[in-house]
Amino acid sequence: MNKKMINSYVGITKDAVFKDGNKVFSFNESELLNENLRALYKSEDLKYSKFYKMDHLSRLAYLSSELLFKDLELSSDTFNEMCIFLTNSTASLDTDSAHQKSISSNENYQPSPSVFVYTLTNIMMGEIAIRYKIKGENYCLIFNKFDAEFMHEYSDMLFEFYGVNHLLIGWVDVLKNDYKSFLAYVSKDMNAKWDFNSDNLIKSYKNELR
Amino acid sequence: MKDVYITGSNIVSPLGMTTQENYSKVKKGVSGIDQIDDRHYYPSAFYGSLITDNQFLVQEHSRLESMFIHSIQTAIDENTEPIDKENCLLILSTTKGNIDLLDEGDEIHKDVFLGTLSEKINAHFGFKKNPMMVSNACISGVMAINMAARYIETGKYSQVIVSGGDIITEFVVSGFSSLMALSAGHCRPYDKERDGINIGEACATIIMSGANTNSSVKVLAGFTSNDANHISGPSRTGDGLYNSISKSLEDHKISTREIDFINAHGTATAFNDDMESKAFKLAELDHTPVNSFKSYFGHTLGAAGVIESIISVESMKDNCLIKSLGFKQNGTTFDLNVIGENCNKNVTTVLKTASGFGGCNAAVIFQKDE
Repeated sequence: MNKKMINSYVGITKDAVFKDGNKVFSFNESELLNENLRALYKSEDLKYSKFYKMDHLSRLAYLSSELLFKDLELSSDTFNEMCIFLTNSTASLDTDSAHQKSISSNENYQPSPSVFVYTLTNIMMGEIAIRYKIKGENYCLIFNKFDAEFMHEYSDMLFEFYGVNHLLIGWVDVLKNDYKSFLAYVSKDMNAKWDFNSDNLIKSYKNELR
Repeated sequence: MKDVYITGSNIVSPLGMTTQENYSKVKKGVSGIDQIDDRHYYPSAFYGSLITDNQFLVQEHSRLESMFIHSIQTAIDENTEPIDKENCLLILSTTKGNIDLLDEGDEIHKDVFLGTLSEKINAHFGFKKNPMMVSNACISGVMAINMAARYIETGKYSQVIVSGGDIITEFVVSGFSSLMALSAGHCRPYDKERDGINIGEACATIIMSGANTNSSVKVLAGFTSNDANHISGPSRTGDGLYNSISKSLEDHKISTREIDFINAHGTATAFNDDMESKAFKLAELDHTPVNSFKSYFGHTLGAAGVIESIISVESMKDNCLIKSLGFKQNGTTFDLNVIGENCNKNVTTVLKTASGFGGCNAAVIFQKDE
């Protein structure tokens, strides 16, 4: 049985973007989330028009996935069977608040379907799945704090007993101008650098795994 | 892999406060859906399944928390084995949690955070293991059951409590209304005249164990899959749901002929029911008897997978196929064998499926322990 390894990971914080623990892009701290994500999209020279329809949570998840997968050269078969396992603490509250505002007064009652569809946290997984044609298992769970032990234990089970060979795992969280994203690609690739365990998950979540 | 047994359950819904009350009403063809004309929920009248008997309310807890507490406590009281508070795991499932506590202000009420909701319920019962909260659209309940079954199958836990709940709120009703997804009357899954969903509120609990203490039903954990097609529209081909069904059956070496009936998602939107008919055709399950319980409970979102699994299990134990209320004439892309009237049949194996926004699909199998 090959060991499970973290091949690569991406972190987006309020200050900067990290790839495998190295800073690859700096945000202008005085800018709002929206402006920073647009700047990142432009700097990566991405051409994915769906980006502009997404809410902040999906944009953050989508951009993280682009940065993670761009150098990995994974095959369509790999994506097809990949499992996505995402967690966060604020669910879809960033967009929930927008939907709530749209129904807050009788005079200006305008719920929007294009906002409402983003009031489910797992939509961010759907957006990544559509971008890469990922058709494997999906998991979306909510915790008040990043829970590396749970995430490692359950995904270890997926590899050992439930046929998972490729896993996209992470934490993507947005509420107003607080945001944090962490995505890692885990597989049984022996050439990868890091063992997949809860200590390394915590280090990579902090962009400190090198 | 260890066997997984159902040792207890509960349903809190407009049809009753126990599994037995709910099952006997469903068997009689009673629906919880009615017209709701109350500005608290929506500016105009709509059809939904609302709990009006508020006996379950617990002091210092929200409406949804009270439902969770009542449902879990009742399931524990009726469970065939005592609960090991030190070692049991609680998995909750919801789409929107305490979303009724969200207002337009800048400060978000702490109980709106789903992690806080699961911690509060866990603390109420004094469970020592950290709880889990699944929020994966309309497959949340089936996903939670599958996770629980896997934890037991692999020996990580020997007792897991799954509870799914969601309430009717203006937040949800206005959203589905904006999507033009609400039915003008009672929803009619798979019917030619179907025109959308009814929102429902409910909470349902299943207790699973690795030990067979007077249980007659096993849970065979299934798989989830993604359509990778559209965030709010179901797959055009049904291949995502097909994949989750075929992987689940293969994993347990169960042939399609062994499935006595399917309790499907059946929301009664045009697109969802068509997609399911394509998936069942692909799986060669289009001749298998199928029903949807959405016309009894409405679409109860995070509770749906749990509540529908419980009613399916009760109907299996009762050897009774339950009619898909509201169905008159086939109206899906491929004709399905929709159950039109209750009938007696020896049932040993049931397939339960769910699909949701974000392109997600899930399946789970229940089987008599014989």
